[in-house]
Amino acid sequence: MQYYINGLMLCLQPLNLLLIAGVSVVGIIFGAIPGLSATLGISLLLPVTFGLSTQTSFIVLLAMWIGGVSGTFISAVLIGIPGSSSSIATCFDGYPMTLKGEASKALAVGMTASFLATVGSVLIATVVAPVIADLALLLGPWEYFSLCFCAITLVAALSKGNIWKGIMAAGIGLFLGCVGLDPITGVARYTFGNHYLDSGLSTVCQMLGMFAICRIILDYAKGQGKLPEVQKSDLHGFGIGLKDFISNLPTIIRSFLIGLWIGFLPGMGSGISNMVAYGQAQQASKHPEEFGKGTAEGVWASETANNASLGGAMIPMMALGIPGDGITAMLIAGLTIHGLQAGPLFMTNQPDLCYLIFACVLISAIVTFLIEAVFKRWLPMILKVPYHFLYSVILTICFIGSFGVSNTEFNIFVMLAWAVLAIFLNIEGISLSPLVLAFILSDDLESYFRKGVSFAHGSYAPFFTRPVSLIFLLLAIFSVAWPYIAEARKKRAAKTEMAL
Amino acid sequence: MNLKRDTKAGIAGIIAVILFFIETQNMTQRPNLIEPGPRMMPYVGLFLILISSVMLLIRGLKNREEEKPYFPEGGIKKVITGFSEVLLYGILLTLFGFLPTTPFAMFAFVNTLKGTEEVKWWQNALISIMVTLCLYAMFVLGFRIKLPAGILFR
Repeated sequence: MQYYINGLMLCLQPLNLLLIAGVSVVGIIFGAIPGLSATLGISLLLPVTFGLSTQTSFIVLLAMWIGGVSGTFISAVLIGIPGSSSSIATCFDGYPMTLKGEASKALAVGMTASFLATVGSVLIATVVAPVIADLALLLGPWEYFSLCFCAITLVAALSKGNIWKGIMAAGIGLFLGCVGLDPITGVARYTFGNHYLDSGLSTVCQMLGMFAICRIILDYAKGQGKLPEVQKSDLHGFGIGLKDFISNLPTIIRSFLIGLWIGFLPGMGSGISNMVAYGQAQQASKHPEEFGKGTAEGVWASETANNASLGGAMIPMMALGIPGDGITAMLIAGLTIHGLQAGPLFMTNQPDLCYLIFACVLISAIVTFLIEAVFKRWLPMILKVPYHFLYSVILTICFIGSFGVSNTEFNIFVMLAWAVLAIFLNIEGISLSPLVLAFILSDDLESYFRKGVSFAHGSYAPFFTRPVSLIFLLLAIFSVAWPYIAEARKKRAAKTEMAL
Repeated sequence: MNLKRDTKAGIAGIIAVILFFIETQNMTQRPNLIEPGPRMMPYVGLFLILISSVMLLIRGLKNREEEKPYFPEGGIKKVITGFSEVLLYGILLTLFGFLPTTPFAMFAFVNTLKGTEEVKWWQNALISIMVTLCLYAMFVLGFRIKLPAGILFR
């Protein structure tokens, strides 16, 4: 508790509070503008953290995360284009509300739902993560290997399109994670005599190349620059009252639990939770026919679920060091930059920083809510930011960031190589999430596997005989097999229907 | 022959696997190790790429449906133009450093990305210089982060 209070006090220091407010505003802008995202914002901030203390680094990264995830509802409500996949379902009712002249109410629902869900989920994460971390200390390399393997497999199996594309992305991630000196024997792998590659490919360069440079070039090539005009609405006042909140309480609680659980599972972040919660809210509603026509219930469901996922994703990230999605992978990369490693030992050895992270998310959520509430009238202006200037500045920051990783120009070209790979993968419809996750986890996956075999004197059996390890391996196999089982069941059901 | 995207991904994947498999063979593997050694993980990665490439290749060859182009007309040309610009900036940045190259790069980026938008040249030039100076002040003076000085000026 003392560490948590210390964390809160540190965040509430005037300079840190100012930093949270400033970065949250940038985060809201990144979240609100379609094409930009919290992921991109964090990848641009990572190089900036080289010059900051560990505490300050995490204050800015987390403020960007919270602001970025919260801000996505703004464009979904005002122009019907989601700021990111986490607010797709918000468009279904948010934009019709704007067309009906209820933009003020829709924005108020969005910001209140985001705030409540973030605060609720992070408080749960604060309580649950240390318990899971204590249990995780009892696990050996066999269980950790199986857990990492399961996380990668789940993300690959759930990647958009086709499971083979997900597996290919995971394979590329694992393979590229091998570049550099072998962590156990020190043998050089794929360095081709270049000593800059001895320490492996930089994660910061990967993030900047894959999420910033690639995104900008693809948007330019697709001609996605100008946004539609915002409908003129009266945005005075807060927009909702206590009555609105109470009447939607069952939807809020249900969506919160859905979001929290989905966020906890690797690979199933806010992009999925908002859709699931929206569907559930429609099914349980007394007026399902109003969904899609501008009902506030739909916005409550979507925005509560996507922000609740945030706290859910923090649990495996903090307790086990397993990133659930791209953003948490970047936060783990942020820890690595400062010489720290997320996981159960991090919670035991660095409780001050650990609880600072939880406290900072809480403060960031409050600050983001206040900013959105106070500046609500001016939120439509965010969508008028000229893309060409914004993108040009982002491109320049990418170059500074990649150079700053180790003060070598070589990394600039590593970043550009990642961008080329990401462009090809995007064209081929291969999702980047499994690649990023596999790349981040490849080192751990390999070390745990080899340590496991070494500890068992060359035997592979403990991976299958230790119950926790076996459960994770079975879960991984099931996640790959599930799409085929589901398809076979569908075919059988269709056949039975035909026969009848 | 018009190859499907899956077919192209499959072929590229198989070629990459063959090349890197050969390279993996050159890795030193100490004898009598009680663990799988440094070649294990690359093999796992390559195996995953190989099976997914083969599956994508088969899927691409089986698929008879017409494929929607990924980019609108002229999109590939824009990708090449856009990437050439950032690559050129990367090279010039390496040679001449941050301050002499960034205003020109910013000017070129805005000019390219503006598309059909109207941007006055002096406005673009002014913003490019201001952004360069702001970034320099923020990173060098604010965060004490080094910026590329340029190989030629070292």
